[in-house]
Amino acid sequence: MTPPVLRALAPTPVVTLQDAGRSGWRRFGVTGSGAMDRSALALANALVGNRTTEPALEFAYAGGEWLVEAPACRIAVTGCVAQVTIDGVPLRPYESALLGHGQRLRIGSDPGKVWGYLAVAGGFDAPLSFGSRATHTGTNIGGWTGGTIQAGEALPLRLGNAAHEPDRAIVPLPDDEGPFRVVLGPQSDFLDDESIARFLTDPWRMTWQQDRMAYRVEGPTLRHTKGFNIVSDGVLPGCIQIMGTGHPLILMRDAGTNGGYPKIGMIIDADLDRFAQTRPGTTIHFSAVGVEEAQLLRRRYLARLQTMTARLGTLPA
Amino acid sequence: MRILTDSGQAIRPRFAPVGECALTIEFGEIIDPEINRRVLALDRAIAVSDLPGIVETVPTFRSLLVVYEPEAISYATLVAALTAACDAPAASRTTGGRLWRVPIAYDVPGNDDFRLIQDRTGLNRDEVIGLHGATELDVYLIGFMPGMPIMGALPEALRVPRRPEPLPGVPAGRVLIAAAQVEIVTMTMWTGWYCLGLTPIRPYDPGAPNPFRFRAGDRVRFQPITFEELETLKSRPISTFLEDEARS
Repeated sequence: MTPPVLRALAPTPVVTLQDAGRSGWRRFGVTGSGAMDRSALALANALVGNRTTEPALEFAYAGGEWLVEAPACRIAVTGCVAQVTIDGVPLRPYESALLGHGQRLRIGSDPGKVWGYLAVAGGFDAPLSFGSRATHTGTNIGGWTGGTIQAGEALPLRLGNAAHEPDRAIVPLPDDEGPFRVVLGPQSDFLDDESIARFLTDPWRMTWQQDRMAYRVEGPTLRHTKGFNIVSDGVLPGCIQIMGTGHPLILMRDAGTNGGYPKIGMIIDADLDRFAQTRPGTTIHFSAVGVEEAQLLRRRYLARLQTMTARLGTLPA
Repeated sequence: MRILTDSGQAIRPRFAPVGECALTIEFGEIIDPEINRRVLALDRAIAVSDLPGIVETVPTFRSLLVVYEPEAISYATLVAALTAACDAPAASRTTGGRLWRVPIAYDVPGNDDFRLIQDRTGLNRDEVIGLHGATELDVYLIGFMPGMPIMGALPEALRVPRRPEPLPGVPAGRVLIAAAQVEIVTMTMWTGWYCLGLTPIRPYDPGAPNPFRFRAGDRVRFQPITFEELETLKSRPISTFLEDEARS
């Protein structure tokens, strides 16, 4: 019998395998990667009965067309969920579905989100690289090839007992609204007071320059007080670098381990999924919070995710 | 105790949050061997400590990034513990790291950068090679690309500013220089640095059990080889380029 696979019939351009990302390797120049929206990844996995950090396929805007070459394969799509069909029949958002051999899954675009996730019950069968299966295309690490999924590629599946379990549904809690909260520093002293005030009060606009490495936002030009070259130091996803042009560059999951522009602040962990999912053209604001408050918000974010997966219900067979 | 950098500045660590799950300890704002030694000493002190909630640490030229779990340790507790670790006398000095003897071929067909380096520095071929080989370099950090060692400091006479625009497609094995720094390319990348020569050594070997062969704190001496020797040396195990393996 041929091993069970999911065939990429017509994948969109930047489909990659992502999990919760890797840690411990930044000191060797290997960055974290992992899902741009970790809560959407967790929900997709919960819907098919996986551990919430299991790898899933991540896509931008739309997922393309996929063919099941396995006796039975339970799937769930989260994030970009507006136009998901199985052999042309629409799948309701945030419900799992069982597909048989030869069935086609099509994931069209969603006008509200940027990133979507396709999880399969049992998980994708990919090798571990530095403790994770997350793909970093910039350094050819993770996934099956270190790169994006190509048309025709057969992705090995671990199916387990998935076929005998029920389908599930989740009612996602509404997204937080309001400004993206930022802990100022570590180099906010490289900008003058007026620039920091404008950063926190002026409106900003999400641009089309957004990928797994970095997002650009449009707004006022900020002024450096002592140049814009710092000796490169460690950076993390969420770091807001102010480039030589006076414009922010927000580092995301695939950003390298070091950076040489001053960092005005860092988007807090609890808001980074939501920031990653904000479409180009959207007007946004930033606000400042202290470290302790950000830590409290992180605990709430983790609790909220647990509540959501706990509200998971099974569907009648 | 006040510790002075090679350029005579006092080193006083500065703590700053990097979001709510990380902080940075800056020992200075410049590239300086003594500042980097303090960074690596604190990194080692954390590694042997029993501090809870440390996810990872990332040593850089002049600062240490510490990623932590706020559920396991508070910011204030972590800052207090790291301040004490910075003040401990044992952390102020480190012993010398392992010594690498890295072969380099300077006369490489098609490498126009070697001529540009001579033009920019006003040194002739033998002077460039002599100065480079006579300098023992410290590995300040591994970063930017997997396993890539970044070293310093080059003598003043051999320093060239980086290119105005970076170039794409620079492959593994290139030895690059810019300002006081030297690096060995580990995989194809963009760079604004100049190519001094080629080495058979691959500091990043993705297939090996230990893919990262260099460590921050290692020392490096370059040794001239001919272009013809490059290929034969490529098959030699990388550990044979370590001066004294017992020190690893």
